[in-house]
Amino acid sequence: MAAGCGFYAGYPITPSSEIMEGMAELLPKAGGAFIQMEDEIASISAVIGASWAGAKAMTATSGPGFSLMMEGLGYAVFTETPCVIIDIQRAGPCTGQATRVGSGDIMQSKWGMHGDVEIVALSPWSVQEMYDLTIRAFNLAERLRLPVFLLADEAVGHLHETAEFHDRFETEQRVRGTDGTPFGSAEPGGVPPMPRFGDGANLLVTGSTHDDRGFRRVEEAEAHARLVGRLRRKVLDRRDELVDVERHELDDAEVAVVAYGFTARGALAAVRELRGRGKKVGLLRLRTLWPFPEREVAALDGKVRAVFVPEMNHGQVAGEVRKCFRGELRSYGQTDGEVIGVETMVAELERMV
Amino acid sequence: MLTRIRFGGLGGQGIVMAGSLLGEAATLAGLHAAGSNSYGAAARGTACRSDVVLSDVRIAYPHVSTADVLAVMSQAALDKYLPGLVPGGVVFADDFSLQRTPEGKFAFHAVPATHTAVREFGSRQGANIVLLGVVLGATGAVGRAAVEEAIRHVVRARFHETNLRALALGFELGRPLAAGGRS
Amino acid sequence: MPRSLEQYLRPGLKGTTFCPGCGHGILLHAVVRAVHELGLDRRELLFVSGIGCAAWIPSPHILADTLHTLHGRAVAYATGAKLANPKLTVIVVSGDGDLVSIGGNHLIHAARRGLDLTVICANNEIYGMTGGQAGPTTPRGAASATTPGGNPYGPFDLVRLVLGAGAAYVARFPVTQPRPLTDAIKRAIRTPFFSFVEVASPCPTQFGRRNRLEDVGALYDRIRDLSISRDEAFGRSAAELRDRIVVGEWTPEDLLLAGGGRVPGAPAC
Repeated sequence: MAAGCGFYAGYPITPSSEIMEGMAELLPKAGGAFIQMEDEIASISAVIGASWAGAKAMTATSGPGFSLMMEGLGYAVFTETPCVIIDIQRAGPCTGQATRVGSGDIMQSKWGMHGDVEIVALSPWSVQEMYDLTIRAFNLAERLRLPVFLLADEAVGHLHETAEFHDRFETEQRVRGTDGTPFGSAEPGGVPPMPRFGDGANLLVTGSTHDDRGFRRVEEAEAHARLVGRLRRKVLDRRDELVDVERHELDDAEVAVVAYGFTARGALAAVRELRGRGKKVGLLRLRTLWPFPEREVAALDGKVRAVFVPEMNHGQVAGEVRKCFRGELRSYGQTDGEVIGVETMVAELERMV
Repeated sequence: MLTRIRFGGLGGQGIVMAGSLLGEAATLAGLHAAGSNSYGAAARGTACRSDVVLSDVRIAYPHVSTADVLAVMSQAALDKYLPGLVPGGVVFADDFSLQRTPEGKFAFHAVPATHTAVREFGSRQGANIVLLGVVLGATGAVGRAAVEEAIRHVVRARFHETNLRALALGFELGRPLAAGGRS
Repeated sequence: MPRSLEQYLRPGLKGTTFCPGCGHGILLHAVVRAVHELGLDRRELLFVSGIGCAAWIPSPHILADTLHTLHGRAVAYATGAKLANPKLTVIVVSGDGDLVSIGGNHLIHAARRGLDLTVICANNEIYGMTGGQAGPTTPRGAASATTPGGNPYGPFDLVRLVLGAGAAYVARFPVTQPRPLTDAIKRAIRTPFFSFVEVASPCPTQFGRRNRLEDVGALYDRIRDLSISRDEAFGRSAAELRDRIVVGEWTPEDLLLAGGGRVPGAPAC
């Protein structure tokens, strides 16, 4: 709400429902609109409709609901609709362990939609970052006209913690005017202004391949290639602005942990403990997961001998690390519905240094 | 200063409330606090826990993997969480449901939390706050005024009086235990 | 379409993409005429559609804001847009398969909520765009690409479905009765709650061809002959009303009259 969110549509699902309950109470008081939809498909649909009607819009969900939203999220990417989706990841697959922690949606957020899409996914590790990165997600969504994911996990989602709800940030306002081409840009990675319904722009919004004005171009190869190309470049050309990592104790490290989400907090504790014993270990913490911080990981190559990637899934990010790091890589996947313990990571790292 | 406190008991005993009040009070007292509770079916009738980490600097790792202080309201919780206590840690156990006194490298205090609540209020409600008062009276982790303010923030108004009284009784029971050792 | 209504059509389009004999062009005319006669500000009009032939009625043809969404989801998108900007007059135009099969849950929940949306369902009794498969409104016994031996199941009665779900105004007319159809659309738009208009619109290419109704004229004759007003239908037996298209307008009061039982005038299915 600090970021200017004016619309929430959702469907209750453990362990994300607390967000929905909070929005149900607070959003209408602040002049926004809240609605409980009949399912997650309807939720993302209503979010997209509201976004085109001019509202900054969001929803929150977890694994099964995230799966149901995939088609709608593809629509949001293709029609360049700003929206924010918070996924409080739980232990999957399927219904899995609804109340337990996991982080198995990393690949789904990028590859769950059919076709080739580029999206932005952020990974908070604290209550403070649930606040700060939600604001950042709204700003990026509005600036780039795309869905932005906050891939939190149950451990962060249910953490109680001292946090400051400050107002030291800029709020991105959507560029609303139109030159008649709300779906085209002269720049190969450009973001066109987005008029809203009711502005008199006679908008043609469609999930089919379309030209700059929105007319369907479903049989023109060039039109499809150009549109998909621009939607990808829109994200990839801005990767330096989007990618956000933290480096801890990496300067003289021989072994680096690459971690994200709640696991990264345990990893930092493990690194500090081992540093206390004179072991040269460090942490590269990924606060952006998509676009993947390839350069930042590749920069470890030649600097550290080995990389350790602990995850609450079986190597979803380790596979991405493998693509850019040629040294020794140890992937540690834990999917038992529990967070990876600090002592577990200490023991694993001790075997590597 | 880093203190990791774990409350354990059964769903319905107010374990999560004790943890929430402590976290809120610590924040009001200017400390950093992090808390996490058992979540899901376990929170409704069976064993449950509430973990709180207190620190005067930003908290790096917010979960309690090993606790400095363990405060329990059931024998099952004592048995379950005792292995997760640091050597030299402190245990406070409500004597109402205590069946066995454990042995080990820790300070152990059996405290009459439920008995006090029943005597003062005619019901077990409030025993969790008595226990919270004992823990804080003995450890000094957070001052009483901050907890009182937290009660006024978190607890519904009609329970304020009972809760504040339970807290005061707890502090009285806890203060003599500050030196540590066995009781 | 008369010149006076051309201002509602998006410039630069060379006719519609509907098959010869399709009823959707008549429905497009009726929708545009209704909007014109109501004197609505085009800037505040939003047309939402899903996937299928009928979804093309507003998009790209109508010169207003149009949101051409995913298959089945039009009503859910419309819900979000209306809540975010209540000033919009939101009209969903889509087909029977889109709104009632894949989108059926959204339809009944929107009717239950009673938000001010107008949903116009072009019912051609078959999946047209995807090649003539059976839908939730295909008559029992009718041939389709997926029921070569005849549809073993009966169709939804959309009037009863949507009225039962809580709609404030429901109407059913065939494209062979353009004037009452247009008036019903106007009434639906003016209704400040959830309203629904089912429109019987023939599909010569898929339904007609597969059911030996190749002559387009015969297909329109069929729709016209099957249509019976709710007054005429009142008191008739279920057997007499089988396969008939009972046309007219219904409100929640009709449910009260029926005492929770059969709605007077509603068709048996």
